[in-house]
Amino acid sequence: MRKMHLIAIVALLAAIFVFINTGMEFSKYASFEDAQKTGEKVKIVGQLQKEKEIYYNPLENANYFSFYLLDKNGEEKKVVLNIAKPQDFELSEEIVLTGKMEGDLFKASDILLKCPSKYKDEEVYLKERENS
Amino acid sequence: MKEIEFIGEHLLPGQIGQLFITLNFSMACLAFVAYFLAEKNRHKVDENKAWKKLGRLSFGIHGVSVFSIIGILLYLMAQQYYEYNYVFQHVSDTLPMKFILSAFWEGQEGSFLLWMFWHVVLGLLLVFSAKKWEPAVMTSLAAIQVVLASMLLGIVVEWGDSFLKIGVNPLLLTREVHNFPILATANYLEVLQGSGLNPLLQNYWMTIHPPTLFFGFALVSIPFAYSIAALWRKDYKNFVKEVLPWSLLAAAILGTGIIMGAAWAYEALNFGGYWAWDPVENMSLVPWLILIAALHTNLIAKSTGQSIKITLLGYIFAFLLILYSTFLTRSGILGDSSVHAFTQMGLEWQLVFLILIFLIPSLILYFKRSKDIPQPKEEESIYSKEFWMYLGSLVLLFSATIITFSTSIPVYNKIMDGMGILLNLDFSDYHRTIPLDPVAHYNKNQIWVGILMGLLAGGSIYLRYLEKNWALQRNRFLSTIGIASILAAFTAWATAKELGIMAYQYYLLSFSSFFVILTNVFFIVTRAKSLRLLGSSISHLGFGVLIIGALASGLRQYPISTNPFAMAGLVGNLDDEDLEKYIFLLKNQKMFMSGYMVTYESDTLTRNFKEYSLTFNKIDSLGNSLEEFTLRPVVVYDNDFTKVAAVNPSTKRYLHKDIFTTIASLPPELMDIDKMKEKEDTLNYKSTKVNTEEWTSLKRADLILLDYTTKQFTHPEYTAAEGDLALGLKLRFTNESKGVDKTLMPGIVLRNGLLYTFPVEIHELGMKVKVSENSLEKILVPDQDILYDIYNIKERDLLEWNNYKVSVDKVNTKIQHESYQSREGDVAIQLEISIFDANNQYIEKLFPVFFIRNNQALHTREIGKESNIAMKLVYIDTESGSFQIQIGQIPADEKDFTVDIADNFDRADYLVLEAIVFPWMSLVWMGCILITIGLTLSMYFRILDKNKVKNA
Repeated sequence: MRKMHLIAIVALLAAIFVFINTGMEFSKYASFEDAQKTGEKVKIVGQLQKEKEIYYNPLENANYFSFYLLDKNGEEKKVVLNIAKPQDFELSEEIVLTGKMEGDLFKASDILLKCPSKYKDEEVYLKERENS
Repeated sequence: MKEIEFIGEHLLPGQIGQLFITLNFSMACLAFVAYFLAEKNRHKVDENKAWKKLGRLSFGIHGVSVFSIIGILLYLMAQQYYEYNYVFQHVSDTLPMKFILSAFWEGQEGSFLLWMFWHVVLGLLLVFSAKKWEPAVMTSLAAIQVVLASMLLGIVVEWGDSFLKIGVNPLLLTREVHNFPILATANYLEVLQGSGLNPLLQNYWMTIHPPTLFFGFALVSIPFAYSIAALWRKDYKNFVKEVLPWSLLAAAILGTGIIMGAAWAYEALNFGGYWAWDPVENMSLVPWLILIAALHTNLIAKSTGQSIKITLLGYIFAFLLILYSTFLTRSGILGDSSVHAFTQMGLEWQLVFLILIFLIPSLILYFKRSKDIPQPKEEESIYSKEFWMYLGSLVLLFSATIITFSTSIPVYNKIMDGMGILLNLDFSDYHRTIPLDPVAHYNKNQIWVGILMGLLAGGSIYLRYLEKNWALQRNRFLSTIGIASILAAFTAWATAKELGIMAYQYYLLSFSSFFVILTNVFFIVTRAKSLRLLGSSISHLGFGVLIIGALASGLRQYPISTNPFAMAGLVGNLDDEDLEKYIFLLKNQKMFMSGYMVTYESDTLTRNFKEYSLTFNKIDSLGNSLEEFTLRPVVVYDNDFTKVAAVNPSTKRYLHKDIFTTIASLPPELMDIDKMKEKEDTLNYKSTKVNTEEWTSLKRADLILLDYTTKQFTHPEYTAAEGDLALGLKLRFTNESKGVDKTLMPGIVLRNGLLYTFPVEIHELGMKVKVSENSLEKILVPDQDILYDIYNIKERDLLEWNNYKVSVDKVNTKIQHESYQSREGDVAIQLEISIFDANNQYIEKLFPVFFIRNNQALHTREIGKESNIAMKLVYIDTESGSFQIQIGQIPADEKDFTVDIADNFDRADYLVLEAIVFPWMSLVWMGCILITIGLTLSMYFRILDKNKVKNA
């Protein structure tokens, strides 16, 4: 099976290449500063500033959503997206944004949320007291 | 501590179940030992027979135990016996019976039982069909059951400070698990309510997906058991034939289970797609990929005698990876990185043990035997089918390995922590996280797997096993492949153009998919004379179709919930991030979006599911209606109704596209009950007097009282109950400039001493209207505030009083009155009295009731709305036949009612919709179905072949 062995070696090399490549990819994100400098589309990871305004009012514009994000360097910027506010947004622990800086705003086209699991066993559930 | 006598607990079923749990485990052990000895003594006829008999018997009892535990647990759940923790955690009073099975396998214990259930079913099939393989195969199956049964034991072994938990008993009592203070009271069952099934899981997918997936899991055990048996018996030649139908079935069913998960994600959950590369999805896909790889090497082994080793290893690892995925989902190691993860139960070490106990002996056995495994010396020619099939299997294994590599990141972190503890160092800085954009991460590598798979599956079909005469074969092969390549290149080019694909990788992928589609269609049309040869072609065709569908729907999905007219002119060139993907829909108002006129017609609430009815009217450029259909996306609330838990999309399917709609947002107060309270607090209510005579002018509307009612109050949120005192004001609101003219009825209800208001909202005008609490006093004028005159009158008498004329028209003994309910033993009389004004103009009728109940004389008080007369029938003189009535006037200003009106009310009759077109989504499902049909077809003919050989 010499041919097979050759192929196996090639496959192994390819695998090692892919693994290294994949391993490098596990976490690599830009900061607001990088985005400001390059002016290009970047991926930013950060935390939602929960005490600052989270604005979404469909009565005015169903496609405008803004909030403040603290990036990994501790810099805070206002983020604007043309989407509806995702469900359970306030609960998110980490947010990944794709977009670029426009002036002092970060204009994002894509958002990914990392949320804690929603269903935890809570306290004992009691039957509702009947009123009538 | 004093023992508490708990009231109302049902402990007997639990005790019986406990017996079966013990029996379940011990009988699995006995079956393992008996079958092991049966196989060991396979050359001693009598002993073999005796042990086999014992093996069958104990496996049978084990099976009965599994069924009994399941039966008991389901019974407890159906009865809502919350004293059992499993019932308490998965059932609630409001959970409909149809979800009882879903609730059963929502938890770890239930899903272990489901898995064991299938093993029992398969075990019975093997007993009847495996013939001389039975003892060896059943030994492994029984061993698996021993380990699974131990997961239900619930034994805690303690030594010193540390302890080891073996399994979790599904029949534990709630008060043994939790220490809420309420559980220490004797009558806790009267107030205990179950937490119920996660609302996300309350749909039919949860009923069909887990059993199918676990059937698939269980089926993967069979090729594993056969592989171990083959190594044990050193019978590889028969092994490759015997195992084949089982692995085909396993691949078909496991594949179906995975597809169902994908369909569920697409149809009911809002992941925005059918495959999210979620760790749990990955770890069910990986065993399937390995199984498919092993299936191909198995076919090689059957035809040529090559590749037996890799087949054995493939089947063993497919099973081990099922165990590994069990470990990932159930140990809590995935934490919150997956939607599928079970809650943690402290069984991590037992789960690791579960893998090791199968991994180590299997590998030892394999390496002990590996030298003896037959392997032809001759190398396969590169013109032979087996060479390329083998390569395809390697690609599949490669794909499975890289998926596992990325999915296992949390495991590396854990191992690193473990080493850190040993070395007394903190390694948490070296932790890696699962890629936050998993789709891009996995697609990047898997796209090459897809390309290679298509090329290999497309080309190898025209090659032959053990090719000896390539020269004869060559021209025919090359011409077929050549034609297919040219056609595929052309179709791929056309498709790429149509879909606007730029990246060369996608172009290559679509080329390879069309290539596999074309070659297999050629093959089916030209060569396959009977169904017998079609299995693999259909599966490979399905693979190509699936990839084309995935490409089209994944790359070319586009939003249609946009209003291009509204946007044109406002912005020049639209970037991705400027594209407005969501549309705002007001109730009952038509809205135009990308070729459709959409109307949000209505919403209906059933339990905690709110279904929105949206009509889509497809119109052409001239405004003609082309097609009309209704979509019904759903919003699911939490079990306690405080928040939106999930949204379920609704999809209109065509062959060439799906229109996928989902609710992106609702008014804040409909999403979260806290927001409703917040909003109510911001409302600025002002009191206004209303009456029936004149219009009241307000900033946003003019209004007049048309009528009021204490009898016919209706409101969407009000259900009448006996003893209610209700007041409804029928109000008409007009606003000419906004074209609003509405008649609505807000109300107020006194029930058991509590006041409930039922406001109305006029969304168009931004108003919310409540009836003031003091309005109720108007119909509740205290009796002592009214000056009554007393009269004795008879039937047909006419009485003149103040400026009114009062006549007794009729005496009723059959009484209908909203505040009088007849009871047995009552003596009751009702008068029908007409009121006229001084000019004999009829005004209204009153119906006072007098009744004697329990020797007490009682009466009602009637109030004439028009005349403001209060009237009571207080006495009946049976001798003279006269009635004593009291009649009095209610002060005139009592005709005014007060309402509280807020005019800073943000309208809440809207939703924000997202609608996406997925082109050719149907191909994804069609491809999956073809793969499964192909596998099933192959299995069918393999079984036929096997039986033929035996009968011959």
